[in-house]
Amino acid sequence: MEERKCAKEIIILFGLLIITIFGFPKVTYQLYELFNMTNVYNSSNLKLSLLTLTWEHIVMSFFGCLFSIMIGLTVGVICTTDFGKEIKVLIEKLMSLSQAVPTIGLLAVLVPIFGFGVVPGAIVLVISGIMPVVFSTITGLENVPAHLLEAGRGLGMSGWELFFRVKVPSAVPVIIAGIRTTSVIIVGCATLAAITGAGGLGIPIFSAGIRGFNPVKLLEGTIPVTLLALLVDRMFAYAEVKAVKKFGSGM
Amino acid sequence: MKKRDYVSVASAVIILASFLIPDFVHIKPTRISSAVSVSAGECLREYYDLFVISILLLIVLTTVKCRKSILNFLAGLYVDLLLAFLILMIVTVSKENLLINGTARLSFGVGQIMAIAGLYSIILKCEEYIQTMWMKVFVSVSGWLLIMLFLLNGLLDQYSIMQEYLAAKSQFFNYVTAHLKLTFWAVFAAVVTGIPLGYLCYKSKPFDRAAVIGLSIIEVIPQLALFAVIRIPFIVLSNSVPVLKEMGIGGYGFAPAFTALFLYSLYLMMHNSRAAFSCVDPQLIENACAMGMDSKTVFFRVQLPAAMPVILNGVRISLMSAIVGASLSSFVGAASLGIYIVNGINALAIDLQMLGVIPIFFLAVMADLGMTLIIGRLTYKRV
Repeated sequence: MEERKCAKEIIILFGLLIITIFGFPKVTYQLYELFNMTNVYNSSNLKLSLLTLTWEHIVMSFFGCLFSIMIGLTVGVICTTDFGKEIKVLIEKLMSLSQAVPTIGLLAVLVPIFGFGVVPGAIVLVISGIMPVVFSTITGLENVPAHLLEAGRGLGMSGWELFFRVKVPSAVPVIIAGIRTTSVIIVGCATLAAITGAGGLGIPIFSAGIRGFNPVKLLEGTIPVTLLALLVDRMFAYAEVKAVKKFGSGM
Repeated sequence: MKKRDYVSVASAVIILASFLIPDFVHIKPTRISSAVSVSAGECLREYYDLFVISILLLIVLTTVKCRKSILNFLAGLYVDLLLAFLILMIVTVSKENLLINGTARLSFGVGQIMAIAGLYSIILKCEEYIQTMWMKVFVSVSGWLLIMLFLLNGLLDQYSIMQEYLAAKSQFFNYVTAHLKLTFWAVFAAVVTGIPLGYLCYKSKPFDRAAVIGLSIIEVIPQLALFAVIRIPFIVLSNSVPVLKEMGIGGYGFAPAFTALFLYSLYLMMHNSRAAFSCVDPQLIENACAMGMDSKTVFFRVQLPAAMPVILNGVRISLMSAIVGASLSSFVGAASLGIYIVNGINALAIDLQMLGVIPIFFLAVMADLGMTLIIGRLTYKRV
């Protein structure tokens, strides 16, 4: 039931995204008329196609997500091992402090070091998005029901078997919830990466919404980003429902 | 049980290693000239040996401290002193040796960042093993208090961020108050409207369904885009209603920044209070009803107090994210500390950006700490 609903929403959002990407350029002139700014339409010759921008955005967010998930999972798993218990305090502090730094300020620090381009954008995406994955991995792995662990030990499982056969399956729903939050944050943050010249849908938002004012260009950036983020959110919600169905509710 | 605190020992060794890195601090004669890297030996001169000896002592101390509360307290204090004096002596000694003149600026190099990170992680580890509350607080704040003392006495003026501060001194506090005002009003408005709306969500199903859609859109819309999109209705409004234009409400300035921050905090508050009310044990409410309370009393005496910790946690999160998020508000022309970040990005001046980033960071951390203390006190009372 829940699954069906999610699948339906995913299809609708995907359709809307496609319609926006291909349909928006067709209605641009009408929109300019609506805002009474037809003179801008003639003068604005920035012709980056919406498809390219969206594709750049998707690629950037994908790699941002991939790296955050990989790093976040590793850090989270390390934190729950015997060795990692010692550094858990430091990791948790670091993660919560990273939330207190303005993303745009991070960009400001990284641009002079790495220059303009994709690299500072990617680093910022990882830093700003990694926290939910780490925390959810830690909570998921630490809150495995005690009776499951005991049953596993009773069956004579070794440490590794216990980890992969018992702990991981029961932590999966929680971890997916964390990944969901992370990916939504990253899709949003990728707009800021436009400041460093990393491309993506942040370009129309930044050039039109902030520098000077051009509502049509602004909407051209904002609508696809919002749809994209909603789509990602729903996709992981679907995965979460599936995981709960397969592994139980985890906690 | 003698379990050694290996993380602290490792951090102490890292600090020692950082003294060998040639890039310990950067010195710039002016903001735009290129930086010269200086190693720890060159900038600490005659105090270099002293610091190396005290770090060796630190390694010994971290090795023997294990998990004893009192030893951790002493080690923590020692690290606090070391942290504050390392930051102080770098300036003082390089000034004495004429490495820097009045307008030159020091900034953190790789080595110094490593050293500070190492020291801070030892402080955190020490705090973990201290049992007594006041000792914990004392260790965690005394280092920062010492640094603050040095700052107020103008002993650290040679650091680049302080140079920027001195140049912008006359307006700096105006921007701080503007920043705080903006976030305070946005969060205040969000709290006042968010809690009743959250309760409404909990009470009526159709309203809840509508609210979830609206909230999830606010959630996923990038903050930068939210700030920009919010300008559209304001521009249309102020063009069509002249009264608003005369009042100065338009697509630029306080109004759009406030609205964007308000919406974002509202999302957090509503989400949280909705969860808080639905987590209240239904048995409690039933009991209260059975005792003959009317619905108003039930709400104020049972539901609200039971939901309070979660709601306050929501206030904490929204306060923190509003303080951080307000840095974007300078893009729409509202006065806030973000102005330094924006100017810094435009001029590619990292020192100037830091003048925005670091105060925002500290405000956010302070807000977080303050709210955590309040929540701790309130929940403690209830139990």
